[in-house]
Amino acid sequence: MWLTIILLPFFPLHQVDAATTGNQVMLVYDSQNKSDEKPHDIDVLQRSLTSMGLNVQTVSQADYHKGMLTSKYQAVITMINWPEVGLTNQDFIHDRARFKGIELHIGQDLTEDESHRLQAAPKKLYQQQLILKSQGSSQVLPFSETLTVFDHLPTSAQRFGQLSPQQNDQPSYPYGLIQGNMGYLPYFEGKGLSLIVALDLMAHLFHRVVSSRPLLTITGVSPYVDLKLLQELGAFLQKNQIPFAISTVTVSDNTELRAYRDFTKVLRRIELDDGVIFMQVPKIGGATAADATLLNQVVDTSLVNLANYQVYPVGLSAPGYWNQDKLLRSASLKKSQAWLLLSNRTPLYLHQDNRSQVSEGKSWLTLSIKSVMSVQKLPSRFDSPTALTVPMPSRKTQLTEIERQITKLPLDWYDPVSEQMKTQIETGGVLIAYDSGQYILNGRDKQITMSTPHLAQQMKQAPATRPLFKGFFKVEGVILLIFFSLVLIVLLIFVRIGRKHYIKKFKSKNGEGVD
Amino acid sequence: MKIHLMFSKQNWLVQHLSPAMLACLLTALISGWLLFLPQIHGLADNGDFYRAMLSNGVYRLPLHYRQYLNYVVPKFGLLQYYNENNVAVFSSQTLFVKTAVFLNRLFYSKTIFDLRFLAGVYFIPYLFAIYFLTRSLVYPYRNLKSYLIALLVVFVFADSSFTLYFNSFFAEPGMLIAMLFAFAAIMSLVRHCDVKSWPMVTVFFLSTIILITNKQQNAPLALSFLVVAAGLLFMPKKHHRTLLLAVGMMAVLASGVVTYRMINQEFNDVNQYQAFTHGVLMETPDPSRQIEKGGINEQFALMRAQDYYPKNFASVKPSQKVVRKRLIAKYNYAWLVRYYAGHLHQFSALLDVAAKDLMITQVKAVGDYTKLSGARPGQQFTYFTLFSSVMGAFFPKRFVFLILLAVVFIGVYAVSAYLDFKAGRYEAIMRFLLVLGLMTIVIFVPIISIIGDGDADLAKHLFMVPVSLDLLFLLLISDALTHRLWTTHLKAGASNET
Repeated sequence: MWLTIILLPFFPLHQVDAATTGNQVMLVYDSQNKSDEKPHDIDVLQRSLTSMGLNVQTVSQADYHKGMLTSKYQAVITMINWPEVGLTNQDFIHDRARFKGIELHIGQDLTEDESHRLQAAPKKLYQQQLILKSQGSSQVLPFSETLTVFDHLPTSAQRFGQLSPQQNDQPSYPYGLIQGNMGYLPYFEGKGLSLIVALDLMAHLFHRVVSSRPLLTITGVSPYVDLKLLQELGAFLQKNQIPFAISTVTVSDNTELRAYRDFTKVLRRIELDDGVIFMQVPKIGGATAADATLLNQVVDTSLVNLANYQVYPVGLSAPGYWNQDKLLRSASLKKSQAWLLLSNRTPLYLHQDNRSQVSEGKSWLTLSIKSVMSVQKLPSRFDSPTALTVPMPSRKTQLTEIERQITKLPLDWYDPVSEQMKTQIETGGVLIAYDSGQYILNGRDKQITMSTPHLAQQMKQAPATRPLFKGFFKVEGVILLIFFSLVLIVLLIFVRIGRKHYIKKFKSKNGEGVD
Repeated sequence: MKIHLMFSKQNWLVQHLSPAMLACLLTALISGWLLFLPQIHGLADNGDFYRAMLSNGVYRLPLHYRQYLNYVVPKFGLLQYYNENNVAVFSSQTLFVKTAVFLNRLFYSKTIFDLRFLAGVYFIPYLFAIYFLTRSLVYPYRNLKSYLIALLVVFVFADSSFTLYFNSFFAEPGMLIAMLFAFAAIMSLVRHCDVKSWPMVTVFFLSTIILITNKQQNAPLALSFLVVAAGLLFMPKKHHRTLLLAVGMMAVLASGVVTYRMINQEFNDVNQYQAFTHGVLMETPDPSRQIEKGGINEQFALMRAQDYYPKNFASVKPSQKVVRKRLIAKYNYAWLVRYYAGHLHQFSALLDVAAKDLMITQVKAVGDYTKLSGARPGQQFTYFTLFSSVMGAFFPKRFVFLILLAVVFIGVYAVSAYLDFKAGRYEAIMRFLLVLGLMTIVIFVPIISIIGDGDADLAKHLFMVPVSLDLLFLLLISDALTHRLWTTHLKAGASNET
């Protein structure tokens, strides 16, 4: 690790300007290997690269064709998710061998050429349970099938983390390593210390080191969660002077209802408790590419409605795949400078392009607190913008547990005020900005108060246009009603008369009979 | 006079073309071409077709255009091997689809399914239904008025808003056909169209069971049809008939129970959710407080008008745990009934919403043309839709009108039933119970729909209401024209018999 420290001065620690040229990366994977949760790892890798300010084009080896990997790419990443399949596309292997930029190889199937570039001897480890150690942190890894590690490294190689067997007499091997502009990771796991060290390696390999404190984020907030618990959690964090963010979905309709006023009131409380708000994009139901305009409207209306109630989101949060989709990205993420990229559940694309872009400001990679809980001595700083997430509690006991977890973590949290976070969202002619704790709406500083803003003017809706024949149909309905009522009355009278008549006839007949 | 001569017994046409046959022929001509001649007409998929398709081995062929909403898709694929799809919904519709697939395999192709086979499977029984319906309405007359009634039947039931359904995987055609048969069977018994009664009694029970098991929402109709079937009990007692009636009525009841029990958990959730978001939350300025009083978190008011399967976007999907735990688990149908009992004004407003588009039988949400016809996406077919258009436009849009209508009909038919009861006859009683049964459909289906699923998919839930009303109007007109409104007993020698 000392090498890292020595080499650090050569790689300046500066805020990466996301729009700089030379930030194109191609990620080629062998297979998604859906049965093994590998799509999740691809998603985490994509989001990690986005948080480092790198535009990623993701290609499955099946879709790679000759000449795609050109010099416009700064780097190429090979990811092996299914060693049994491995890399079979010879065009890619050939193009990669000739590629002059940075290269990262993740997983098995290293070519001789790649091993050669690493200037070290590969070695396979079978069926072992290893411990990953890095800068004082450590985590016991799950049982691994086969791993390729490297031995006899040259002194110029940068090592990241260390894989140690549980028996002390066995040798240890570096987890990640960089030699020149070639990097290597034996596996990629989208959680825990493995991910933290991998982020460290990638930030160094792509010269994107931005040391930052993690942002504490409460995810899964919606108007339908227990808002009292949310308020309690916010108050608890404020009391403990822990700055935090929440990622919440909202509604674009029904904002005239009391329920919406109450929801936004809680969000204002969060803002006053030094929490910042990321507005989460809606869930996709049966939408298709034709609904992109509608999505645009939904996002705009949601943001404007929140702003009407003094809730000023500092950014947008979305599942990672929204950045892999041309329409989803442009209708949502592109409006904001700050992104919070959440993990994917079930991606539903409108127009998948697999060309992720970077935010103009900051893009946070989210990592659940649960996934780092098993790391011994968690590092207090990460090498790229990272948000540690806790799910919104649904019960009081969960709230207590979450509070306990947060206080237990010896972390120095990201504070938007002291870090002078500056961000803005431009939507539907409204500019919502945030600058070191100050909310700004259309260029004017805004103070947040707990009283519900007077919205009489905004609430007024245009009167509905009167249909041409509405009056006629109404009159027609009334006439028919009267008509049938009359028929009913006449009918009842007739029945009455008929019955009398009938009885009378019967009586007179009877009379005749008597006579 | 001349007109009367035309319809005299000696007239060749009258001798050889009964009113029922005329209705049947005209319906075949009017609807036949639009269903079978290319480019065919029908209804495009609103997303529900899969329920009837997949379990019957029919799948979508890849096409270069979107197969939903805009255009009717005339051809589908047939699965060749093992069909792994479970039956999505328990329905008698399967009988029709399976028959169509069988005929398609036999006469057309083993791999490609032509939608017209399905239309054919509906069309033939439909023509029979029209025949029996007309016969039961005009019998025993064959005069100018009878032919007028036959034309009316054609005007109402050859309306394209009904027949377009045949070229689709919607379940409605089965319901329509079964309903016509059930109605015609009872009226045939009332009018003594046949010497023996058991065939029509059997037709009635069979068609009723097909109707009830056709769609899950039809389960409650079992009660309405038991009212109708009660009329049969007034027929002269015969040992084998009593047995047939007992078995039939038990079967109707059982089919209702089975259909209800077969509704799976997911559909229950869908209905329960939409009963809230499309019912409880609608037609009120701000439901937040009201639901809070009922023990549901007021925040769920924000779900107003949301569908269980969001059409495009939603802030939260109703299948998520938070919704199931904090909303769906908090209420049931008893809660809904209690809620509406305490909010009668809102409930009556919702019933008016139901009554508003009641008679619009044409499905406006989907297109009626194929892509190849060159029609606009979602274009509506307007040929022979005068009846449904007029009814859609002029039928009063208030629920109270339906109640009044029911009272008038029941009142009118009660008179003859009372007279027959006094005179020891059963025909008018049977007819009265038919009217009463159909009127319970007219009144209770909107109520059940609102309680059960709110104003979501109203037009489809209420399908049986316009069909019942149309049949009742036809009955009223035919009875009025043949002077049988106040009594079913014909004076001797008064008829111009068939």
